[in-house]
Amino acid sequence: MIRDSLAIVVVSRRLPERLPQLVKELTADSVPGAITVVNLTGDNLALSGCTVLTAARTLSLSHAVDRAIADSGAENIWIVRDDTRIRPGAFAALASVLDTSPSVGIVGPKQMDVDSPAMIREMGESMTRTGFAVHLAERELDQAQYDRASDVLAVGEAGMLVRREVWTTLGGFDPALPGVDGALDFCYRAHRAGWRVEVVPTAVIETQFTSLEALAGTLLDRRIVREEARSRAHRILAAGAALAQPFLAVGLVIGSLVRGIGRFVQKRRSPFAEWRGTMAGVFDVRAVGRAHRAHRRTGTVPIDGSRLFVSASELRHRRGIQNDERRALLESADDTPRLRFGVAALWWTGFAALAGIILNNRFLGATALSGGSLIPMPSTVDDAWAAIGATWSEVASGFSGAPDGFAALLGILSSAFWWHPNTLIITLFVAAIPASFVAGYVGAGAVTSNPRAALIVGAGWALLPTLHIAANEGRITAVLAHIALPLFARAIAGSSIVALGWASLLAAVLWVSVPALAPVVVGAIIIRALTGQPGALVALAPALAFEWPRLIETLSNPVLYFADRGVPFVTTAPTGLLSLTLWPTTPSLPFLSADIAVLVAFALVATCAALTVIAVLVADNPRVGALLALGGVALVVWFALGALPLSTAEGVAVGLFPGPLYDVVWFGLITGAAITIASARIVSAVLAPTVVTAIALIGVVPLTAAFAGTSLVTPSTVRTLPAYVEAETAAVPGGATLVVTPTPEGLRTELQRDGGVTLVDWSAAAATRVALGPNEFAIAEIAANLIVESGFDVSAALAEQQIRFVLLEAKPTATEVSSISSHAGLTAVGTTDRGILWRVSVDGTPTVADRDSDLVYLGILGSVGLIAVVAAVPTSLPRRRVVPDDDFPVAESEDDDERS
Amino acid sequence: MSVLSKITVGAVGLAALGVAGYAVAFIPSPLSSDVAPLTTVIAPAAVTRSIVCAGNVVGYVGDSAEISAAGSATQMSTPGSDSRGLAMADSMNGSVVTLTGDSLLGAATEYDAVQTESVAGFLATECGDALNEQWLVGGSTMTGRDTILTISNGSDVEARVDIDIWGSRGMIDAPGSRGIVVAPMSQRSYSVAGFAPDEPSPALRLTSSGAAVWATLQTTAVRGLVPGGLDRIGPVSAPTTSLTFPIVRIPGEDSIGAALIDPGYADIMAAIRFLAPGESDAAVSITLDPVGDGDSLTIATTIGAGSTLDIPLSDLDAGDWSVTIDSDQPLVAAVRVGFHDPRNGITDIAWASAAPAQTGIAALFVPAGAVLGLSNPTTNDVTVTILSGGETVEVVIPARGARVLPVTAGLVTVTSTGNVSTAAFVSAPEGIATLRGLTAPIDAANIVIVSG
Repeated sequence: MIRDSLAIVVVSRRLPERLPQLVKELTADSVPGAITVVNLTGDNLALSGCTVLTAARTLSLSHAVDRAIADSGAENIWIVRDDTRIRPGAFAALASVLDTSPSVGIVGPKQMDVDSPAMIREMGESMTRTGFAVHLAERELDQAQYDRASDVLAVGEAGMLVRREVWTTLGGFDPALPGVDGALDFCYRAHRAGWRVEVVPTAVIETQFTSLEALAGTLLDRRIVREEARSRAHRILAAGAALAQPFLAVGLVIGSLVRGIGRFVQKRRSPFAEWRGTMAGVFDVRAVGRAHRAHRRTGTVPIDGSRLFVSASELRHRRGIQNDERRALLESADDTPRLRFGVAALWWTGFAALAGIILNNRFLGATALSGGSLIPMPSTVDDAWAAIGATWSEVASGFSGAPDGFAALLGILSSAFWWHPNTLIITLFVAAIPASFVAGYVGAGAVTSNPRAALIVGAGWALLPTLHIAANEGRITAVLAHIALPLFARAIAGSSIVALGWASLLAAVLWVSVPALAPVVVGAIIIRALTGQPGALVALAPALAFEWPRLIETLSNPVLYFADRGVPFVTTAPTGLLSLTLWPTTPSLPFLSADIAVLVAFALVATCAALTVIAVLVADNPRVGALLALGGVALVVWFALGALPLSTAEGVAVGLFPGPLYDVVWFGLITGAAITIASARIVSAVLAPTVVTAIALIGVVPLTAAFAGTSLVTPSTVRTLPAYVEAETAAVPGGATLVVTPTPEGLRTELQRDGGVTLVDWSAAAATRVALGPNEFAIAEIAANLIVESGFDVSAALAEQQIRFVLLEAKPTATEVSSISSHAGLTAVGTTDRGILWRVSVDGTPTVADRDSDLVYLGILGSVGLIAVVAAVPTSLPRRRVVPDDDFPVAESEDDDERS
Repeated sequence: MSVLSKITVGAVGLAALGVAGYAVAFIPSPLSSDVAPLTTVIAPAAVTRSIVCAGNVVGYVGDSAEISAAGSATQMSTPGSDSRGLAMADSMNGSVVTLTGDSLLGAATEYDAVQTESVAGFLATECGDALNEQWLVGGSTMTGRDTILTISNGSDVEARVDIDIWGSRGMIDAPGSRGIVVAPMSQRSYSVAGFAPDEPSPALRLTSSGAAVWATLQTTAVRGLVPGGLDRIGPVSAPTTSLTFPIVRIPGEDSIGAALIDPGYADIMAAIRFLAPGESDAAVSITLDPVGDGDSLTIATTIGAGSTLDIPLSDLDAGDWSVTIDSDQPLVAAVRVGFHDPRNGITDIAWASAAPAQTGIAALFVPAGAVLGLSNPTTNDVTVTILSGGETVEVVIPARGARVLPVTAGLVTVTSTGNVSTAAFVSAPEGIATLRGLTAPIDAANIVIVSG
């Protein structure tokens, strides 16, 4: 009989004041046997009716039990902690199981929560096949749902009744597991030694702490995760076969790292705590070895895993419940009405996509696009990547300067089209209309949750002349900015980490594509920081990571910083009063004179402005005010920089393209107008299509330019130099081609290396240079001597500049042809699609130019970018609950008030 | 946020936009940038200008099937220049005059008077900078008329020449007119009759890939057994919509009237030959200005695309005229004038190629008996400085006007501040000829290079 030989061990560490009550409960339940209290509190304890042993505070529970039974001959041990409350009959129930079942070595009670006694705190433990400890019942209302359970893998340490034979054979708990899973491991080893473990539902105790809390007090979540991971690693390695241990260790580390990255992406707290714990467990080699030997010594019987371990389906079920709980918690906190991308928006997106394909049908199937400001991307993604952080560029006959943020952006974006980077450009141009619609629609969510208003904004955004003039002039920077701008507005208006992540990425896209938008981006972020989201300032980090070298470089002449990126191309934008038509060129309409077109464009702006004033005054939407203020910032930039030449191309000074700046104003005006129109319920059915049609009609010339073939952008080949040069430089890379173009004034010269200059080669530093680059004078001298019969040793000069080809962009009958041919060392190759080509006869292979990547830049950009991307990964699932918004007429006015 | 403060925010936004809009519309930017196009002016080292001269009067001498020299032309060229002969068949004929240094003053002229049983007349033609594309208008391949094309390659690079020939009935499909190879430092001559037999009004285009060449047409006439008429026609580089012939001397009735009675002398009547080589018919307006007193004449007509057309200039008063042709399509043209001396029976013709309108220094050598014609096709007066025989004269050519000035034999340089056309008309006892003053193709001392 158990009662005849029982040692009750009470381990007191944190709640010594409970001890008198506990002793009273034990006595009241007439538990027989000597009570030994092991005092680990560090203080003196005076307690009647029991033996008190005082030991060091650091002593583990297992060692405390060993100390308590050292002088006792009792054959059974009941382990009780000081936070335990014994309900009547608990011991009797436990003892009766042990009495009647000789094969059972350990029994444990049902543990209820002290603070809410109807809740199960723990009732039997188990683990998954991969070693994760699982409580069979945890934090559940006790409705006797687990009372049929008996055979379990393990029971908790509190209230564990164990035969002394088992305890001594197994040597108590593993000393390496003082806080977590000591009991689990002990019971596991008991199973291996041939004993059974049972939980006794009729034996009920109440506990206040987990085993870890009982040992170490209240801990941070990450410490708990770390301890659990350490314990798991230790248990798996200790129980595993010796030969498998290295593989298990690697698997544990990698597994925990992958889960850590997953948690990092999900933006959970302390994502890598598990990994750190696993590392600690894996590298505690001595403890693992000791435990492993203990396992081998006593383990004889295999565990019946199918019965005792938690099955995968059970685990999925449990995880599902956990996720549901978390999601419900998040959703209960989220009560802001939000613009939904509904069925109507999907249909309109489809229409926009169709329109984009029809209007740009010339571009379908093209291998590359070029014209205007657009030249092809490199043919391989490697070359595109090489531009990221490059400080040397082949433009301007070889120019060193700050790495260009836009080139870096193109390099990054082209990774999505790694098989053919030019597909990025074609996709962007064909998808510009639907992408702008979606951007406009989604962006409207920054100021309204009314889908009708958003449809107007989206449609207007897809039709604006600012977009189509930019596209027709090949201004990929302005097209990107047009798409990114409304999305940025939406993202910066949000308040979650995901929204901030998106805002930071979109801010970077806007900024590096069109540096003139930098003041607008900064203004938006500052406004957001001042209106309740101080953390919004970090959204500037990715843009600064892209641009810091260029910012530093232009400190001496800051206006040059704002020059357009990409290939400089002359703008025809009017300045002064005509700017207020918000057209990036002089307005033009079919069949109408220029003067009337200007008046019509003014009328559109004035109409939108009037409707916006109504939106500001009547719909009292302060965010529209913020958008308008940002439009003001954009206009100030245009006022300051509009008339200035900021870069040079082909011998012409190039000013700013105002499209993206006007876009900022347009976004404020269109959203304002859309809010007014959509809120006027009866007339909006007529007015909304009217306004969208008006925008389409007024912008019809640029809108249809690609269809009509009047766009400067046309399908082209990927190469920019003749095929002969491309083939030769592919075989022997590094050779340069001197491109000479006769002009009315004289000549234009350009040096292109290898297959030719591509879009990623242009850097702002080269485009805005105010003095000749280091080689440009030498190149000019060569060119001038080439086109006359001179005594200059052209061939030596060509060799020095590593020029292998000379390309004259002229007809074969140009006068320069024979002059160039007259120079020794030049062999005419013939007429190509770009002009007449000569080959320079020189010995030796040219050295391949190093693009001289700035590693500091790459490091900063990479790390900041990674953090921003991770922040932008969406973690929440779509809303399941409809938050009432102003779709319902009654709720409309109230919603507007509630929103801010 | 109260409704009032929301409206305040909105109003602030509106106000910001309004102020910025006002600034954009009415206030100039206070900022400036240092950006300007990057141009460099380069003076190439030791520039050599090569002017190619066609050489002697050529023809089928005796019974020879080969074209060879039939006279010995006199060459006048810039002092200090270097002349190298060009190979022709198995002899040397034309030459290349090279001048290293101030290339703007490089010029050369050849003239000759020939009186043989098959060729008689006078020619004087400027030598010129080789061209890759050139147009030659003039001559005839009818019975008794011969027109010889001479292609001179004065460079060290081989030239490969394609010839297109137009006639009065359209483009002529001429065998052997493609891929004619002219070796470095050599000349080749062809009878145009070989390409276009019995063609009264040929016009040629030569396109050369590789080396640029200098091509000339030499035209001769034999009426019955009497030779009479010799000239050499220089090329123009491209069809244009505005053509100028600064000086054309129309002979009087007392000179050619007697000869014209014979229909075989019809081709000494003054005429303009046109070719609009494009796709569209050209509407042209021909303006004839008498030098000195008299009224201008304007003839408006249409030139059919793709075939040559000779328009006779009958009923013109005798004297010096300047001819200006304006067209809506690019075209080429040449003016023919005749000469007959009833005292000794000498008959000659002269073909004038259009003189390009040029700014800067045009240099030409003139033989004795020459007058200089200057024509200003622009709408602004142009001041011209003429240096001839050591004397400098400055004249103002009125807008769309012309001047004729006497010059002494030797080098004449015409320095202009605007576009003028320069030509000379030579009257020798043996016949007549025209010359043009050409500028260097590029100002080789100051080449403007734009970088980037």
